[in-house]
Amino acid sequence: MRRSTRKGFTLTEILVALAIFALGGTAIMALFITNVRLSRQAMDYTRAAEITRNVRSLMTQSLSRPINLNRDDNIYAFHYPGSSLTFNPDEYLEDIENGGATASEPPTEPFIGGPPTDNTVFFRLPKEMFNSAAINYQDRTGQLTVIPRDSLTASGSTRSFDGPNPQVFRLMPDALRRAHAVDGLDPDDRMFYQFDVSIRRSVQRASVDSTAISGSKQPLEDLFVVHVRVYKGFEYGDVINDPYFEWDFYVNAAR
Amino acid sequence: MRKLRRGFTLLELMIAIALMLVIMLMLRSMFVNAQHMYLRAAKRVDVYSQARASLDLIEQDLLRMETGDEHYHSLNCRTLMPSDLRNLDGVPISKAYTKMDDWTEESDSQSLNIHEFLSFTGRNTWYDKTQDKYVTGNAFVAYYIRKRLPVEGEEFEGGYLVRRIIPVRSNAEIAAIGAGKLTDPQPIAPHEDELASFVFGVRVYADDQAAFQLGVRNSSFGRNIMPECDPSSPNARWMYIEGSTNTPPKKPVGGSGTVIELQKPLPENRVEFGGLWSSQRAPDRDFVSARWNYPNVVMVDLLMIDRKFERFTADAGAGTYRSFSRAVQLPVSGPMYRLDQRDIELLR
Repeated sequence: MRRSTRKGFTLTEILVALAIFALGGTAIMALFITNVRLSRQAMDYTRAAEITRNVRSLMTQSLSRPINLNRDDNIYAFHYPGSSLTFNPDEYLEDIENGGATASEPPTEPFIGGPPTDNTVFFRLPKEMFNSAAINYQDRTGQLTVIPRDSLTASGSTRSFDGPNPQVFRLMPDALRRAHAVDGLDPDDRMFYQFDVSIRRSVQRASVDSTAISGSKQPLEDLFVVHVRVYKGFEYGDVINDPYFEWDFYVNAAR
Repeated sequence: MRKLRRGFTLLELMIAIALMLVIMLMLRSMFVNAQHMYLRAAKRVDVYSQARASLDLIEQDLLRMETGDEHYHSLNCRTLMPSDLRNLDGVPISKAYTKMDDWTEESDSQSLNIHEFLSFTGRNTWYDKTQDKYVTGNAFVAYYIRKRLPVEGEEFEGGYLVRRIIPVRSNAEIAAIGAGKLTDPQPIAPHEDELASFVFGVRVYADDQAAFQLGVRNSSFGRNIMPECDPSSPNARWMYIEGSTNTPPKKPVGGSGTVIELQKPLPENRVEFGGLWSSQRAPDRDFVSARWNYPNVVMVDLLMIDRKFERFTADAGAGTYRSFSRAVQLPVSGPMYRLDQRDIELLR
């Protein structure tokens, strides 16, 4: 009987070949995924730089104009055009998907974040010296003013909101987004970004305080550190939201 | 001995080819996606660079803005949205230009008819074609959107963002012309640069010290302190309208229009640094921020599209677009401060 000479690949050979192919494929896929991630990261940083730069101009302007309620009691006003304290991107997207708003019938103003006067916040500057070892961002202390969390009314009392207290300023969608120019969702669409601002007294030192036991130096009186945190996809509730971008700048406040 | 060299069977070949086809299709989709990503990124870079260059230039020009009490020292801001660009005839021509006819040439009709969203006088440098060199001097700077030429069968597709420089005659030159010493002055030649190719809309916000001081004075901040410069927008309702505080402001028509009473000395002993203390009235208050009320911050919001933007309706479309904003802090409006006791005594 003639011996069969038909011989295929063994299972081991096939498995080895598949493994090599999978390794190569995975490496190529990883390249693409990394590319997408880095591209989105670059977009996020561009948007964050834009937000922080604008906050710097607006906050510097704000701190140059104290509103004097009583002697030694000043509050300041802050408004970032195109931002909202109450805008809900999920509801907005749902409304778009349901065909709620059209170019000829744009969403009503309250729906897209409320009038600018509602989104203007007032705040006091912190009076106490900042102690980084003893402070927690979640605590409300005299060391740190976080807006919009610590918002006041124009008369200086604590501001109350209809819904949950806003923790961030949310950027609102631009005109084209509002007019249904949807081609998928751009990952750097304005409405995905949020920010908050915290202000503390500067720890820049001027002169040695000889009366202090520790011999610590006095802070420069009117110099404040403004800290901007930018988020993407901020969520309310018991969720820890980590900012993806943070930035500090100094402002000399008029008082 | 016969060699048993044997090739693949047809079935084996077909299976191998099918497998290869599946792999190639997968690879193809990967490369197609990568190509789309690359093209999209390239469009984005185009949009990003145009917007960044435009906003940088706007910022630098604003920082060199000149202040004063002449008509041409006004800062003019206005929002222009796509609906405005489709109907430019319905948009009022700049008030500032109508006051410029004493120092622009009569033949420069184009300057007198553009619809700018931002204009002011400032120190600038431009290329003078007649002298074939760069010239530095004072100039009226106007940023406007030039409508693209309509393509038959296509909807309006944004416009060019143009920076127009209109040189201003120096005081010495004006004095010499007035005295008859300079009978044949060099004609004023405007210069233009197209900064961006596809702008869909521009929104301009300017913080307003009058609104702010009204808020302080009345202990009420019902008016927006950073309003959008769009008289048709409810956001502009911060304006104080004589005789009626609850209705939207009227658009200025001719020489008369909305009237706002600008700030007076405040009972809280607070003044605007460098401001005037007298009561002033400005008829074109919605566009013109006058000397005593220069904004501290101007925010420009550009809505850019790429050239392949596909339109669905008059206002909507699909494709790459992105908004860019820049808040420019102007040095011309100083901080407010509290008068100390000595100041008050001196002022009594």
